[in-house]
Amino acid sequence: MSALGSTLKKGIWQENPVLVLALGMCPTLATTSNASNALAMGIATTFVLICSNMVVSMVRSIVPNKIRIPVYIVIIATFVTIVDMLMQAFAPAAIYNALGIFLPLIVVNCIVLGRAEAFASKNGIILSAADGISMGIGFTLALVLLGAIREFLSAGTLFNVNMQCWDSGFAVMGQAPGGFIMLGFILAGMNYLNIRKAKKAGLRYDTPQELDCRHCSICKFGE
Amino acid sequence: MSDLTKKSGIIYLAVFLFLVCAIATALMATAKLLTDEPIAAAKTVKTLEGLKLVLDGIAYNNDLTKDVVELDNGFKLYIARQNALPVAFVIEGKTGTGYGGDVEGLISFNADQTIRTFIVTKHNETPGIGTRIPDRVRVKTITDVIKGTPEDPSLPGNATLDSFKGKKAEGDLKWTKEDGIHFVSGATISSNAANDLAWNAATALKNYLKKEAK
Repeated sequence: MSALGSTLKKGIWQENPVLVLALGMCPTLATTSNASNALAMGIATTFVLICSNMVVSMVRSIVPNKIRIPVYIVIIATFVTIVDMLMQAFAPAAIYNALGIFLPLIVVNCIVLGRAEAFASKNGIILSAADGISMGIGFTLALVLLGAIREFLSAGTLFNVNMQCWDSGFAVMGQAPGGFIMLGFILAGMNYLNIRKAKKAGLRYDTPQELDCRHCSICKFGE
Repeated sequence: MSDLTKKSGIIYLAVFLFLVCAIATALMATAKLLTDEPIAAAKTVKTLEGLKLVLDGIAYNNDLTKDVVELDNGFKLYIARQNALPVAFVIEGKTGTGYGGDVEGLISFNADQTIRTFIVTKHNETPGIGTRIPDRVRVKTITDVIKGTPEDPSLPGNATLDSFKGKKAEGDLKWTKEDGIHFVSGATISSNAANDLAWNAATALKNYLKKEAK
């Protein structure tokens, strides 16, 4: 239970996919110019992440080690394509209109592939699903935070509702450079909080051990 | 030789990967067969709703779904008639020049061939960047939300799509910025795709009416 609990928790703060792992920068910067887009992207990714983690975890023991990455890519791309077709056919039009354009962006999303490789290929189905949920929620929260700040600064709106503070604000925030700048501020703030917390407890703040380069298996091909 | 067929040998890996791809292809083909019909049905519903939107405010009394002409370039022309006289035209067409593939739209024309309303019905542009061209988003104000002002039922505006209003295909050259078309910087390809679609539709209508007049 404790393993499940910590898996569920870590994606939100300790190993947040955007703010700590710095994965998936491309959809992060593109879709966060607006909070509603960020939310839709987050929901679509969470859904795909949970399912792809479960599938990868199921096949993990039969996939030869040397070709596991191409196999995962094929699995995830197939899965997303089928979800796209099923959604277009059977989901209410409002849902497809809101989420449909985000699905093609997820096919090669490195969060999905990264979690398949770093977690689902080493853990059971339930833990992998929990990892998908937690990473998905962390991704959604980070995106919505970034999206809300950028949207408010650049257009004075939040979720397309005009807050009537200013009409034409800080234009650079609406563009990709603004995304990088804001992301930098959020990362700095997060590190500051982590370091302060460690100092109060009388410890030195290090990056979490499992994020260390030695624990990553992506380039360990020969074994 | 025995090395190649072992569990880590290249032949085993190649066969494995081939099987994975074959299964994936079979699954996708099945999904495609299953969803073809519902997708087509959903599209028809969307087109009918779109036709209502682009013809808003025009009085016509014929059944649009029966007054359809297939144009040479694959576009569809719907003719709205009041007592058998054409009062407006709608062209349903697509262009392959979008950033993420096809951009499909409905464009209504007045009887004098000027563009009336342009809506995009399907696109794959990048959310937040390219979507500024095709999406019509209504921005409410916080006062409206608090007071509960009822939603405006009219079509929300869009700087690019609305800039085609009143344009007519004349000559052989596509419209440019000088003609008052609103191009968005940072979304040049999406802007061009909208311009392409509108221009091709207007030209197709012009050619069709010229042929009919003969």
